[in-house]
Amino acid sequence: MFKSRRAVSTFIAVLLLMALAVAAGVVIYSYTMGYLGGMGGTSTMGTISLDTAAANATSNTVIAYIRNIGKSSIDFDKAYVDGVQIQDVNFTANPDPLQIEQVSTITIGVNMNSGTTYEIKVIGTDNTQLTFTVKAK
Amino acid sequence: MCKSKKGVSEVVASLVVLLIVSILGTSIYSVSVTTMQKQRDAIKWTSNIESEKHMEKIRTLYVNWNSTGDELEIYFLNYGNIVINIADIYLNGFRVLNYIEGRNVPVQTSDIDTIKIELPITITTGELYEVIIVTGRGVSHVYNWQP
Repeated sequence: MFKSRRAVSTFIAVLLLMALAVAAGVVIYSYTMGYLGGMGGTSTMGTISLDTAAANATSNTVIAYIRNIGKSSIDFDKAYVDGVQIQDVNFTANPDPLQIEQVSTITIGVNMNSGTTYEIKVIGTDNTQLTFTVKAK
Repeated sequence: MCKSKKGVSEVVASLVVLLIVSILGTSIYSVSVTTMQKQRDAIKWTSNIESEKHMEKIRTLYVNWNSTGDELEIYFLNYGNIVINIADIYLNGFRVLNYIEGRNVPVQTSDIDTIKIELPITITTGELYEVIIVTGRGVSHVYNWQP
């Protein structure tokens, strides 16, 4: 006596396997791209350069002029002073986004001591970064 | 009793699978190629701009100011191996906004050229000023000037 055995057809099975493979691929792709994104792998980073910067310990303000020497505009996102992120209200860029071959004035409000050197880091949304040091006067 | 089983033939099934795989493969390939091309272009651009920056060498030679006017004339030398242009000037950290002549003009190698600006700050005789000239590629030279 034959036992009744019901199963999906070969075609459906192949389709299911493909769906599984595609799903797994999407998961691996998003994971890998997320990892690479942290290193600037998915987005094309811009190129920026510091013209000059000055830190005033009296007004507790850093003013930096940053030039876009790359091929894409830069949308400034974050700023750090000695590794501490500056709140949005104390960090402005004008103009923002910074167009190609233009200069943006970055203003950072932070408590400073005269004679101390500070490390400033500005980061764009596309992970473009610029780090420089400035001595407060 | 035979159960009626209707389905596509193996040939058609294989063709459908091949079609799906081909479409997926083409899509992934095109996305990958586009992404890689953008990355390659960006790396090439950055590499080029950095090598050009290393070829740039500028030096401010002299600053001319008549004590009554609000104009400043800066003489500079391009002693690098590449044509440059002065894009911006800063005086004691203040960006010059008004240029009279010489801005973004190509300067050949070994040439001495001038750029004339309107002063962004008031100048006092005897005080020390920091004049920074910056090229379009972001190379700068700092000159300490005492009128």
